[in-house]
Amino acid sequence: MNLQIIILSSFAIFLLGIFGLSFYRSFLSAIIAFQFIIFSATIIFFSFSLFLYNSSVWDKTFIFFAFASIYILQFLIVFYNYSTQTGVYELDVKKDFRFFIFSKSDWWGEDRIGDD
Amino acid sequence: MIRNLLGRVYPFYPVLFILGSGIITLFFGLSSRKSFKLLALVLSVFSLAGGLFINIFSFNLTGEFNNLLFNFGTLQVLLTSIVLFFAINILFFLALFNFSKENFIKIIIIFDICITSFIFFIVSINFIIIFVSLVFLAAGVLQLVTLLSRGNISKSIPEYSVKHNIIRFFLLSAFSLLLMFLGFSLVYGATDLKSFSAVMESDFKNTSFVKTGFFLILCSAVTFGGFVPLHSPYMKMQRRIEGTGTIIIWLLYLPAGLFIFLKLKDVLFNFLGGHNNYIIAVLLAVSAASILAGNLGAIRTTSIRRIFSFLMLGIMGLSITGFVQYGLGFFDERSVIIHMVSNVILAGAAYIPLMSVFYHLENINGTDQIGNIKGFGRQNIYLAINMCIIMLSLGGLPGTYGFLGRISLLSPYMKNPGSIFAQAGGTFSKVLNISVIAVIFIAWAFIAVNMIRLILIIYGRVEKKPGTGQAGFQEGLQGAGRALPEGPQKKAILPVFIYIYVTFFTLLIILAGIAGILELFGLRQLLPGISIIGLNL
Repeated sequence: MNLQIIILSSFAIFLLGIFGLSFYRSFLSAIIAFQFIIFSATIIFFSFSLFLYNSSVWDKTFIFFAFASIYILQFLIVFYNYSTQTGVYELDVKKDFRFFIFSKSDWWGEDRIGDD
Repeated sequence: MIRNLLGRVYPFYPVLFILGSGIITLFFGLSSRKSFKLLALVLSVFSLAGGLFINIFSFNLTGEFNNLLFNFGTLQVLLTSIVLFFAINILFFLALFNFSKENFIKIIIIFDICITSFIFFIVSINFIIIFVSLVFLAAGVLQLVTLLSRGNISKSIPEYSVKHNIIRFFLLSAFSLLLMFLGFSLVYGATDLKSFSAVMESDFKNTSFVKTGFFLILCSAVTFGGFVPLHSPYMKMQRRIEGTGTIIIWLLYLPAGLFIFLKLKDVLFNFLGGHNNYIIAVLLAVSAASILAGNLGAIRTTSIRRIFSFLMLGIMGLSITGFVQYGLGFFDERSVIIHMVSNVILAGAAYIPLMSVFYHLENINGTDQIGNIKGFGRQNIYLAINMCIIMLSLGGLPGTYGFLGRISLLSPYMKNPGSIFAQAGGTFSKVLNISVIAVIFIAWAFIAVNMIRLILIIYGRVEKKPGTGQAGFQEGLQGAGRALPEGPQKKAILPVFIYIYVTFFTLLIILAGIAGILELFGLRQLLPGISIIGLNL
């Protein structure tokens, strides 16, 4: 297997993640799509490290710290969603977590509170 | 030995101060006693003020610092000072609106961690430190926003709506950081170099992997800053969260989004320097879309929070116009940086005093509708005049600080009007040139219109119908104080320190404006050695 194929497959995984984020609406879909992007970045890191730089230590250090921090952030978001400390528990059913919504309330004009 | 130890921690003296106060505060973390809360607050304020002082003082004494991980130069000193100044003011908001909360000390501790992460982010040059500090900053802001919003839910906004939009915003934030991670994997993986400047000095800078990586990191900066078309989560969240949370987003989170552009400055200067019209066009499109959506959106809404959130979007868009000007050959590198930083300072100097008044009125009336400020100018003449000056400064009134940021973008054309059409590079360059001027004028005009609209409302006449509005409330008539579409429901009595606070910022804005005007006409520098404008005028 050569580097080019690995990079292309990792790009395909990244596109899967982007598709998941833009197509599906639920919270879990967003979190799963994030894993695809993380997976894609990790493949690129390790493949370059293995093929070009003879398993560089810096790459592993980056992966370690990046994983630690990004998973803390994701954990905080998931924890907040499923926390019973707030009055609302588990916001996943019928909720639209997409980032790009083309509606009047999302773009300009008055914000209709009841819409979400 | 102590000198040796201090030498090793340079340039992180502000971090030492903040961590010191944070560690002491940790001992009272679970307490909800008023005296401990006060102690935590005082410690935090002194540590931030001390950090601000030592940041500038130590730089004057020791000078620049460089190693593999960090770079501490004039720009970093300036940015760190801005962040520390904003942090002191956010603490003021925390004390004003959240002191009674049980988890106040926890909020202070998390706030300290946030500021520490931000300082690390500013001085970092290594990819690992940049990424990790930014993620910790985002995580800290998430914790702050959620903690502040807990138990502070407005009756008119259901809790599920608040939670949904907070999650949506921070999912976008996490997505932008993942894009950055992917971008770093390409740049770092393909070059084995650890900083942007090292990559730009190498032969790899024009390889397709590195260019794709830079593109992804630029996309992450746009996403993190909530630029159009991904501004919806930011706009929705700002309306629903607790007031201090919105200040944290405006003064900590969004400036961090702009500072990513400053991290990328070497990359952008390199690609824009070659008159790369397509990159200029993309940056101009993002900037123009944010300015238009921000300013038009603000005109069409009656929520004060939403108006100022839209305006912040416009300011963010205007901040990156400096890069477009660089690409077109009208700005040098220094001017781009100063233009961006001055916009951040202007946003802070205007938003802090205005919001201190608006949130007081919001707390009194229980809503953030524009009707809260109707007739405020007739009720409270002194504060209203101050607020008008600040708002006009945000609108770019000559003689105030806001004018300098606006005029700097137009100064190259004022010096040489023929340059609009004489630009080398063909028709596309001329179209870009004319477009950027149109965007600058539109930005100036629209933000001024927004400010004039607010001022007209402040000085608007309140209808005195018996049983409704302020008059009815004071007289205790039947039906008084009920929700009205226009006009304040209760008389606004604000604390004395709000007057002092707002006056301080008004004077600051006017003094900086006058100093800038004097400099503009080449008369004299009010502050010897410090240029207010500092641009290529």
